[in-house]
Amino acid sequence: MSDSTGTLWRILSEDTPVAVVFYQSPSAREEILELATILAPAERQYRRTANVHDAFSEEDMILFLTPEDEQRAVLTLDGRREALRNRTAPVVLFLMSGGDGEKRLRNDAAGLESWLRGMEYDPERLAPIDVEAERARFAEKTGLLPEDWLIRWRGGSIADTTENNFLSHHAALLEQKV
Amino acid sequence: MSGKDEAATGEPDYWHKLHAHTVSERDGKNVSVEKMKSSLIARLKDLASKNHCSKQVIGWFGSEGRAGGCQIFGLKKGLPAKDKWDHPAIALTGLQHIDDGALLTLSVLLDPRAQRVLEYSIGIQGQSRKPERYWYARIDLTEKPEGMGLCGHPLLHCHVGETSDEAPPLLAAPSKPAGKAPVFTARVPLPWMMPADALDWLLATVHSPLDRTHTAPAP
Repeated sequence: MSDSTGTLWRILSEDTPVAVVFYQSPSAREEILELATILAPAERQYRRTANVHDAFSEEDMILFLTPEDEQRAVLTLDGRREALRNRTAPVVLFLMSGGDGEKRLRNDAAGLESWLRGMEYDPERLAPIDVEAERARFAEKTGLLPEDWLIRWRGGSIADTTENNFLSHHAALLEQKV
Repeated sequence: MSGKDEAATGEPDYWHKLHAHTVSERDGKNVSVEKMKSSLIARLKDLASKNHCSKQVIGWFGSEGRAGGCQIFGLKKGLPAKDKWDHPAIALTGLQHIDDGALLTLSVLLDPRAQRVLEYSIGIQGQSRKPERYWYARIDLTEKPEGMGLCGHPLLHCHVGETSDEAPPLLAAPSKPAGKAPVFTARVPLPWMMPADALDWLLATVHSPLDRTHTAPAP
């Protein structure tokens, strides 16, 4: 199990000055924002802003920064990043995945990017699983390949226990579809 | 009404209708993965705020999956509590009907591209206070029909009983004689509900003040 949601929770709980969240679409951005407000520590205030300059003043509040111009926001934060050092709660910059803001971050904002190690949340980028190793582990545990196990499970010949329900989720994840 | 009735009248019987309802609700709704996570975590944050579990709970979730494929959303390994199969769990305390140390386990199988919840399994197991005995309840959604039919094994169903492992774990009983009758377990059919709704029911069952529809009487 990777640390996806836990990463966002950690980002919001730490004292690091800046973090970035990647989203796929405007509606996905709103949904991640909703999740972030749930995960934000109760003792911390937060608010949403589109103004990148707020990052340099409201230092003890989590700022969810959703700028109209993501490229400009990246360049502003990168250019003035030393002024972010006093922040005690992160400014969380939302960037469209693969968009101009992310490209600017990767290509022209090496300083800011270096500050973001471990402070990036992208729900679409799961830690990769080693499918072959996991399949071998599954077969070792159950005596069957995931596809064969699922045939028996769906046929009702495997007991309907908590353990086997969880195994069925793993089998579905590892199943080779023809 | 039986399958024979269906053939006679051309109308689907109740169990086929229930199956169609579940499939339609599951496939017809665009379920955002983030929204689904939010709704579950919000419930647990509320539970923690009432001191029924650790306040760290909101950081305990993770996902695993294949690029472009399904994902499992559940609890991360290494948590303080785990069930007998080593699944990470949330230890519950201060509940009306179940002893401290009861375990909440959950796993949700998602298809993020199709925005669908494919399967889930959410349960509580522990010892009831009165009478004192083992107790568990678990709500399971399965992606495809399992077993012999849609009546005895509806896609979305609930188990309630004394132990969630009446049956030995998969294939763990080679000494069992071949052809032995399957272990009896009842599956109570349920109408469509999302994982967070299933969690609502479980929590309201073990602690009625957690019933989200409860409205306190006017002072």
